Formats: sequence, structure tokens, C-alpha cells
Amino acid sequence: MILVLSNEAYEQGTDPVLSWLLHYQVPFVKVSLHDLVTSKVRYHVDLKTRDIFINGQSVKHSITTIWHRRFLGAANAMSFAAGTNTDQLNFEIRTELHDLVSYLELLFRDKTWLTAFNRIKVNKLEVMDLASQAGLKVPHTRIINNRDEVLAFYHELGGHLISKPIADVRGSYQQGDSTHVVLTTNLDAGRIAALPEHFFPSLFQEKVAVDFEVRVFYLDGRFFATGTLFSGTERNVDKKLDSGSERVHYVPYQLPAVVEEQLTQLMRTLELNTGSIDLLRTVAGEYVFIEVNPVGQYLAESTYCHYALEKEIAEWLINQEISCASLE
Amino acid sequence: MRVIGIGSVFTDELLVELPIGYRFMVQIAADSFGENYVGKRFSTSAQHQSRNYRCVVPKKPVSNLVTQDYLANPS
Repeated sequence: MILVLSNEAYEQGTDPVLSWLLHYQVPFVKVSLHDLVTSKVRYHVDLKTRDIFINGQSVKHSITTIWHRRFLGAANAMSFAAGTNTDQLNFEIRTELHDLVSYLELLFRDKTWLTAFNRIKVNKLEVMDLASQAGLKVPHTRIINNRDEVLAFYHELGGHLISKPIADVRGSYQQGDSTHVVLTTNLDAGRIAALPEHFFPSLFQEKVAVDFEVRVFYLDGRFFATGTLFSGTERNVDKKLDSGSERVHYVPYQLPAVVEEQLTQLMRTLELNTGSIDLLRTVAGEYVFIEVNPVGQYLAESTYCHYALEKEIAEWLINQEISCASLE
Repeated sequence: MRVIGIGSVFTDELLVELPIGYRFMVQIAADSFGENYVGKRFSTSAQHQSRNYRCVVPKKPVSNLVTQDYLANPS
């Protein structure tokens, strides 16, 4: 049986795959972090037998493949109502839950995972470092905490400078009828001059002269690449702001073999068997690696490029089940 | 996505202690921000084991690359 670790809240990338599992009549069970802390399902974990029993039934041997997608993030939303000692209580309860989940991961470590439990979160800085070692070109990047060195970097790059968060934890902030988000930001001399002399360490990066962007869905050695082409030359520095524009066109794209080899090496180093990879193709024809998201969204590219990635993921999971069954 | 402008939801005092990106937050009309799911309807699906199920409208998968992009500019 396939175990799906996902989110209690709506998660656009999960249900389409489950639809295909239903179509193929392959049994699966979906578990969210919410399921572990509510009383909706009776279960116990036995450390003596190293097993978990749901409604009295052992699941240790029935589960062979685990699809791990946006599971732990729900812990951030779990908190008790504000009051005395709430911060300490939230910390303690989240730690309890974390240790429970970590032990469950240990029990299921020998299963086949689509995104290993401990590889779900990557460090953008470490990834760029490893990408460079894999032979991929990456933008010149610095973490800086003061205005003078930002200005020097700005001049060093000929005025082509952006800033973006170090970590990939972009959320949104509601204020009235508006939603505020931190995206990639263009920096010019005026904005730099308005910065305080010292600030929290922030990521600054060379602004690459982009011809178009390439989003790659990687699945166990296979590449599904999408070129994001623009009508005209106007575009936002962050492609998220252009995603719904009629000037944006998504087309299937074939990466050069050498880039695929470099990306394969990077994904192996990161121990990732799936992920959404962002590349920039420069006006000079080079490919610049930006980042990889182990649980990136893929439905838009899947639809526009006829990739049917939700079906590909489902079939990958089913094939693991078949392989396990043939070995028994 | 309707962008209203650039700004911050945080005070100047707090911004001093934050990464610089929080000074240049993109202000977007909340009802046009996809992740808010404003106006979207959710249900449940026992088959999908989901209590927040959204039946996405089936659509014919077509590239939105339009013919005019391939046509040479007459000028």
C-alpha cells in the first residue's frame, strides 16, 4: 500500500495524483500531521515491536511506498490560543510532535520514499554551492549586512543587482484587502541609498540577463522541462508576478544533455529523487541554476505542456509497489 | 494577480531589524492572490481522504502559445 504524507489543508499538487491512484484502483492511505494529533483515528506506536497500529491493525508491513509532500509544514500552524506561557507551551508541544514524527520516520526508513523525509527541506545557499560544484553556472551571490558593501557589490555587477530571501519560506501577510509578500526585488542606487547602515543579513545576487526561464520537473532521472516565453520585452523580476499574464507562454523544452547530466549529479548529491528546478537561459545562451524545490508546484506546467505529471507521479508510485511485490 | 504597489506591513522600527526584502514587499489585491483561494469552493472527498477537496474544472490541456507569436512582424 502507498502512504501519502500530505497536508490537512488544500494542497493543489496532491489530489490530482490521488485521482490517478483511484483510477488505477491502487490502495493508498493519506495521513496529515493533523491526523496524528486529533482523535479521529485510533492508533498506537509500539516501540517493542517497532510497529504502528491503526485501528488495531499493523501497518508496518502493508506500507511499501511513501509519497512525502508538504507534511511537516502544518506544524507551524499548530498553536494554542495566546495567553500566559503560550510560547513555551507551543514550543514543547511542537517538540513532542517532532520527536514522534522523527521516530515514525525511523520505523519507515526502509520503505521507498518519493522525497526522503530528511531531504524535504533544502538550504538554498548550500544547494547553490553544490550546483556550482556539479558544473552548473550560478549567479554571483553574497550575504551582506551593511549598506556600503551592498553598494560596492552593486557597482561590481554593473548595477544589475537583486535581493531575495535566503530561505524558501515565502508566506503572505494580510492587511485589509491586500496581501503582502516578499518576492525577488530589483535594487537600484536609490533603494540602496535608503537602506540603513546596518541590517539583518540579506541575500544579494547578480541580476542575470534573462532570455527566458526554464522550470524543470525532475522525477527519478527524468526531466520535464518547460520554457517560459514572453511576448514583448516587459517582465517582472519575479516570474510569480507574471504567471497569469497573457504575455506568458509555457512550452515544452528540451534541455541540453550536459545540463541534464549536471542536474542529475546535483539531485544525486542532494539525495532528491524529485523536485522542481528553476533555471535561467541567458541572452548569451547559457543556463544559470537558481534553485530546486523538493515539493514545488507542477500543475501549470503539466497542463500547458501536456506532461500529465500527476499521472507520471502516480505511475512512479505504482511501479515501486509492483517492484516491491515482485521481490516478495 | 493585481499588484497595488510596493511597501511594507511593518513599522520603520521593526524594519531596521529585518532582512531588506521586507522593505519592498509586493502589495497585491487579496482577492487576486491565488493562494488565498478567494471565491474558490471546497468540499470533501472520502475517496481522496480529503476534508478540503477542490474539484478543479477539467480542461483540455492546450499550450497558451498563440499563433501570432510565430508570425513574422510585418514591419
